[in-house]
Amino acid sequence: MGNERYNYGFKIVAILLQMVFIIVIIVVFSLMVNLYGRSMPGFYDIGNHSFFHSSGYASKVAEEAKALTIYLQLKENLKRSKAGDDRLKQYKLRFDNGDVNFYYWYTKGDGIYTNMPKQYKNKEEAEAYAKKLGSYFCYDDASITFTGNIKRMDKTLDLNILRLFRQNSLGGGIVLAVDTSLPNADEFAEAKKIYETYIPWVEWGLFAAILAFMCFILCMIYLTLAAGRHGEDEEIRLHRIDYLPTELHVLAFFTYVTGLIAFCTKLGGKDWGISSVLVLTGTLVFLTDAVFLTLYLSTVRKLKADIFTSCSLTSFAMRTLKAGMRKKDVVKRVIIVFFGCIALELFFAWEAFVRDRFWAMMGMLILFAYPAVHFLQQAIQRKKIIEGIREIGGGKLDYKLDESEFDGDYRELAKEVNGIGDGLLNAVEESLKNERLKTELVTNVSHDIKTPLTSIINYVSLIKMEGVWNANVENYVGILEKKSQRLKQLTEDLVEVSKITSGAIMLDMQPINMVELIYQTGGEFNEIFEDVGLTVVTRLPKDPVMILADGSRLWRVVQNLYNNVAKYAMKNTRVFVELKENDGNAEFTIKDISAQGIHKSAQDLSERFVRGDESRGTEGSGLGLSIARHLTNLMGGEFEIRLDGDLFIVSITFAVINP
Amino acid sequence: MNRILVCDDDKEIVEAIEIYLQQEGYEVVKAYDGAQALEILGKQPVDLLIIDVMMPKLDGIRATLKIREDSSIPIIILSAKSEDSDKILGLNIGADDYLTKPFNPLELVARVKSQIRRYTKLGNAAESSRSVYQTGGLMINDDLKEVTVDDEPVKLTPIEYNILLLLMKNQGKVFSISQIYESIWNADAIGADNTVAVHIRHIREKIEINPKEPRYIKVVWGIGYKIDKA
Repeated sequence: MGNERYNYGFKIVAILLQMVFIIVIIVVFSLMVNLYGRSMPGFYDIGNHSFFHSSGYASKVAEEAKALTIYLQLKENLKRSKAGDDRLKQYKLRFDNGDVNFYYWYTKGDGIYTNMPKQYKNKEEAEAYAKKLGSYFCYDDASITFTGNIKRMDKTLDLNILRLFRQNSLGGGIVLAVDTSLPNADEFAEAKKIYETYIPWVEWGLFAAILAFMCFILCMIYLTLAAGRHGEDEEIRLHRIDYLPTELHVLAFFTYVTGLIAFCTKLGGKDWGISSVLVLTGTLVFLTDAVFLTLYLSTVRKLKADIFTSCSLTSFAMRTLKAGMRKKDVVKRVIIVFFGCIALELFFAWEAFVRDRFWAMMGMLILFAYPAVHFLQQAIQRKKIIEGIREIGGGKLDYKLDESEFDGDYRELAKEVNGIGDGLLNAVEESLKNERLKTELVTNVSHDIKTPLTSIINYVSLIKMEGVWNANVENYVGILEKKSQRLKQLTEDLVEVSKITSGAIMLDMQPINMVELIYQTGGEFNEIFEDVGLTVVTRLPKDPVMILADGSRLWRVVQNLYNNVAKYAMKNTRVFVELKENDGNAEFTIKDISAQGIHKSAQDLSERFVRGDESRGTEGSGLGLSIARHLTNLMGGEFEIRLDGDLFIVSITFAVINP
Repeated sequence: MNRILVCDDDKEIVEAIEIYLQQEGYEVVKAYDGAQALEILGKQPVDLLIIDVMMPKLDGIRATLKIREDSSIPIIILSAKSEDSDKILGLNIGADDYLTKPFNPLELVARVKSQIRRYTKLGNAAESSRSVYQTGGLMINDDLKEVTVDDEPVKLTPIEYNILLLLMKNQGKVFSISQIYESIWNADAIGADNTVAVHIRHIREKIEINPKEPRYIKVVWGIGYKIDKA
């Protein structure tokens, strides 16, 4: 990854650029504020270079007109009361002085007031003169119409004029005009000068400010990404300043901001020219930006290096305290914390109640809250640990507590619990491995046994084929044949049982009709049972009973149970086979009367290598019931043997599934 | 006279098999590892091969793969490995039959006979009549009401015959006991019991070499019975 984009050159350029941009933004902003403060250009003046079409001019006219209406009203009142007035003289000086650019002509039927060079007798003449002056504005009270070429952006202009003609029925009107060549020096002349000086700057400045703002954002994004990175390596490089505690940064920033505000307040008292304000603003912005950028980038680096919280005085103090505490044992620690809290509480209480300090009151409250929070945290952690122990105890040995969620003694405890889980997991894995090795051994040995066994069976069979003329020998050969067959069965069962118990078999679980399976098994065993004189009494539901099982394994289970009956049930008795469906379970039961008394417990019977009557069993390997039990359990069923005197009952239970 | 190659690293087993096969009138050639078996196959014509899996030099599985590159003679694998996965592997790589040790010698002989009959009669057994159904060596001719296994006639009772016909007509389809009952007895299966299962076992005993490991009528435990498509 070419991280060339993070080298020093680029960074310095980015820093300088963002400074330039922020200065441009702030300077433009302050220019706008300044001009707007002098009621100079508004935003709708963008693109308009003529002073006489600007909003500043319009509001100036409105201002003059307002003053004029007051002046005219005063004059009319004077005519009635003949009383003098200082204000009237002021206005007279303002409007009728002769060296103005603002002209008016006013009548309300009886008298005519005007400061135009000629005393025009009617409105048309005054209007013609106003038009000649360039910028004008007329109102005709007879027709109630406004005419003229001054944009009336300010509604107060209209209102003031209308107020002048209130309760008037004599007709008349008013003409206002500004000499656009502005021959005399007055407020209009001054406003025009300022407007024409700054309006092009405002336009360019606004455009530049928007552009600069976007560029500033881009620069900041780049700097944020690049902070702490350099060249090709991926690690975060920190500067010396970054190792200063976070609190110091915050303090420095607030100190600077306070100083800045104080400074600005002091400056604000004086009246400064626009250009000097701009220069001053630029300088302040440069300084502020430098301070801000340094702290901002340092914070970004700290966050990136993940030392923002750890590199703070608070964190350092906490760590030191904790490290000191951890060295002490639990009991001492509790005592220290307990007395520490009491001491602090007493101090706060003294400050709060004796000296009436509010902060001490807050401190007390916080100190009261601390034990609550502390005990809550401890309770949560304790609960988590109990949950963890329960999970592990419940057999989920790979369950892990997240140690980072605990602190103090609970972290130790969590670590130990995880250790117990690991230990158990290892032990279980070890034993599973052993079981698997055993299965492998049994399988291999059984292969080795099968080969000589094949020869034995084959040659015994050959001896029988050749014919034996001695009755004793024939008997012996018969025994050999039987025993070799039993050996064959034994090796096969041995392999199977070791596979089942080590879980090395794959199950093919399918929906199975239990009724069908019992009929099928019945068909297979029909004649075997008839041969030993057993009558099977079958009680099965008429409807299919569906369970989820591996068909051929379930057949193996049922086959083993039937085989067991065929071998050990008393001759000429009845065997009861039953399938019942209740509470969503299908229970298959087979009951028979044992030919010999059973001196084993029900549980022992399904353990490996145990038969009902050890002395008698010549057939089978004794593994039948064990295989049946394990297969049933593997498929999620329950296997139970009950003994009631000589009544031998086996039941297997599976959950019924809906077809 | 058919020549059979028997290949096993246990000499006594080979000799015992030789005795049984010679009694049935077959000529036996012996080999004691896979390499020897390949050598003999290259030298003389052989009609059937019985081969063990676990042998020195070249094991039975690799030998079978090698033989199948240029020969289609019947191969019976004889192995102490009795896992389903071992059987599936053996049959998938081209063996025609798989017998586990220790085996019943008479069953081996029966399977040898079956394989040889099928191999030699395969070409002309193609009477494709509508009423003749066949899978593997099992054939049922509904016109003549005749059932043969590897060309040997088999005697079935009318009910057994009807059940077999039903399964043969619908090869690959699984029939439950009540479905079979209803279509054979034309009655509701309300009183269904072991009857159908007993009949099926009887049919199996008549048409299968080893009824416990049926080749034709398969039991789908808890679902029903079926005959697979050949």
